[in-house]
Amino acid sequence: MIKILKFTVLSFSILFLSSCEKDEFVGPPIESIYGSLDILEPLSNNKPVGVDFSIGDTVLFFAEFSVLSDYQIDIVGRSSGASFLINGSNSNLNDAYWLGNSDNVFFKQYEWCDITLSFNNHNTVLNDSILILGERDLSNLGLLLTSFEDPSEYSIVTSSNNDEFGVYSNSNFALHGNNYLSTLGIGSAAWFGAARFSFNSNTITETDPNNIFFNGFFNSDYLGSAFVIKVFEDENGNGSYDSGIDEAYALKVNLNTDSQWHKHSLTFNDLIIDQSGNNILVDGILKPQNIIRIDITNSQSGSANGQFGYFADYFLITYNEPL
Amino acid sequence: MRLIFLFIAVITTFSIHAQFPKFEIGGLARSFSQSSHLDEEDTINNDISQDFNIVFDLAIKGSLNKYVSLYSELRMGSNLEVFDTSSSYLNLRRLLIFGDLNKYFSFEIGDVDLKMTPFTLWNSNQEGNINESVLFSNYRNIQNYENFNNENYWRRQGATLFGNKSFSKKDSLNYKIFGTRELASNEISIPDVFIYGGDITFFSEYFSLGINHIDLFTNNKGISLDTNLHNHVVSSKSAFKFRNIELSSELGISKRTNYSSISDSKWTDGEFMSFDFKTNLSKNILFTLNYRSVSDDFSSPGAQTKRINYSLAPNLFPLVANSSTNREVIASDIITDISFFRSASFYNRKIDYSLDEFNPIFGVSEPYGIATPNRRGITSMIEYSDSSKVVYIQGKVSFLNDLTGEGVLDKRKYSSYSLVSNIFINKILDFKKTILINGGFHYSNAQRKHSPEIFVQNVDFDNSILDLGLDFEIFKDFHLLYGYKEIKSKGLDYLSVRDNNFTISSFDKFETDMNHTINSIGLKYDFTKRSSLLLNYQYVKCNYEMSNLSFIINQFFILAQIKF
Repeated sequence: MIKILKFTVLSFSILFLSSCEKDEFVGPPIESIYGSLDILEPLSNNKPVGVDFSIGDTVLFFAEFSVLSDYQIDIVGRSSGASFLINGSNSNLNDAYWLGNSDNVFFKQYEWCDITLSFNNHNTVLNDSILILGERDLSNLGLLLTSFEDPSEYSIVTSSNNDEFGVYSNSNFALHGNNYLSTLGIGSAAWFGAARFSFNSNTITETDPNNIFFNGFFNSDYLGSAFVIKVFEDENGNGSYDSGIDEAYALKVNLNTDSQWHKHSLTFNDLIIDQSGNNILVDGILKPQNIIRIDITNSQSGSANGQFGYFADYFLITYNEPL
Repeated sequence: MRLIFLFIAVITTFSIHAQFPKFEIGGLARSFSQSSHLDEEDTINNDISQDFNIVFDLAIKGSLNKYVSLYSELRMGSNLEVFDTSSSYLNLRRLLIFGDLNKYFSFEIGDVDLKMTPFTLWNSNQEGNINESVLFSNYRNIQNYENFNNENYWRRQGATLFGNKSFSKKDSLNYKIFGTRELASNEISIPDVFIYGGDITFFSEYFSLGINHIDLFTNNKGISLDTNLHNHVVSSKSAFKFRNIELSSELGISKRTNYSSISDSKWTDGEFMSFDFKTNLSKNILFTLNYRSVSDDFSSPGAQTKRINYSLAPNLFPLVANSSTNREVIASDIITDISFFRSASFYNRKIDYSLDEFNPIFGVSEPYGIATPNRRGITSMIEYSDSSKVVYIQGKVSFLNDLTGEGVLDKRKYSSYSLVSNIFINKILDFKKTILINGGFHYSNAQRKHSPEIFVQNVDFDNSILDLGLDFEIFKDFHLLYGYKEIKSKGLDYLSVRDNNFTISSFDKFETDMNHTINSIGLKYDFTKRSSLLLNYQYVKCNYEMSNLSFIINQFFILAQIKF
């Protein structure tokens, strides 16, 4: 009996001695929370003479710090005000790169950008700068409707209520390139002209409206201004939109009126059937491959009598995610 | 009032019968008056706190018949705030029905006291005591009584069935099962929480062998919550006796989960083992040695729940430094901040899933007793007591380390040393009247050195507790009492923060340099062995160097007690 008990105790001892201890530590790495942050290599990038995003250049960042840290790289264009934020967690910047994209408006050609590296829970801030020699071509992200540089990409449809609906050239003001759209409507109507984009069916290659995004940049200082995006289907396949036969879908978007450029991105799934005028409901299902026309209208949020309008630039359809 | 009539009716009704029922009555009367003053620099605070409480606990034990008995404690009390009866109250402190079902089974229903082993169900003592003065232990006993802390038992509401069966003169089997309700459901979002458990142990002349099991769990039927929590602890314990050597062990596992009917449940498993060696080196010297290993994920709410809820504020002067700083619960609060109203106390009675907060100023090596997760090492103790009980000395050392690194591969090393002594000077000088000097000193240290590459400050945390006491009987039954307590804490440690799955999710950096002293002097007169009057002045000083916080509390107590 004693032998059996001794054997049992010994077996349990071996079992527990081998099972209690772990090879790895438990909890998060303590240096990630309480390590003192020392900069071992200052912030720099691989494009000291400038980056040309138009030919596919990529900016790589370099810095090394003493502890694993949550870092943040802020890139801000000095003239455009465009910005791009990179977040990461590492003890260096090996994971950080920039392809020229922005979180809001576009960075401009020949623009100096300030780069700031900061860390969560630490006061340390490092600075650098970079010159943009060429803007990134974003049109390959989907279907570029227009940047108003090429008049063949769009047509203007005016109304009796619009005071102005035209394209102007000013590289200092345009968000992208030299040209931008300027609209102004006066009165109480809801429609003050439109920029129209016509193309063949099956031009939009994505079939799920959830994965299709309209992206456009707008700048307004008229209170109550809005734009309406309206897409037209060719349900019967005759090459044109027939009111009363084919379906149209629309969405009104109210604009900020702070005289600043703002990016607006919306999914096609948010568009609702348009049954105004002679437009009808056929099946209520938006089929992107049937879309042959998109109108971006100058509108107002209500029905007040006043002035409504905006500047606009760079209309792009992207797939899977907004710009 | 209805309770009084009920008791009188029960007693009267049963008293007119013959053999049963039989009643015994006991009780306790206590009046406690305290007047506390914050030091003069705290001008914005309400710097005077006065309180006077009188309580009378009437205990009735009645044998209702051959099988069923009843025990109850009825409390009548008043805090003497006003002269009418609006501040008086009448409570039922305890109600217990108990008895024998047959020769092998007994039962208890109601407010039951439960204890298993230090790894399964164990109410560990509050910190800050290393053989303290009679003055302090007097109040600590009152705190324990008021908060239902009877030795290491947890007072729960439920039922237990227990008994033993003898196989021979030397062999017997002890067994116990119990179930308690820890929390009542609100029938919307909070589920019922229960504990059930049991143990069975075979005792022989030379050895014993047993198994324990306890589970804290929720029953969420009837509410919208779709998860079910369980925390099992299973252990086996064994002991061998051979001449004057005693070997014992306890090995076990914990299994804890957020069980969900709609998702895969994740079980967190923890383990522990503990071995004890005990022997009498001579007639007067007892030596014990313990080796234990507790994994970082060993979760045992019944053993790891703390007696003090350190997340609450003390009742006495919770704000200091001109109402600018919330102060923490310190040793003088644990001893003398006695609340006769349960809702106001920082003493804890809940057993729940989360690992309770602890106050590092009392040390970081074993905040949850020997069931502290993530510790491995040895503890050894040697006790000496001379035959005539003049001198008692106890020395204890402990060398532990983290079983698994926390946030870093390096492990903390914990060392602690204690020395405790009682010396009856009167016996040395051959005086009849008591002259007792008692005291103790405890020092503990936690260290962990980090690699320079991670740029993290090393762990280096010291804690010491010094207790000194004097009991000098000036005249017959008239005692001059003195108590001194000093708690020092200095250094830096990173305290683990655990999430709902008992996983360490972060660390709190704790850095302190504090000093807390209590000087207490009192006069006590024992009217009888069970009744006394104590007048006591106490000077409490607390100083936190790092936050430039310092406060002084002067206290005056009058305590009268009668037990019958």
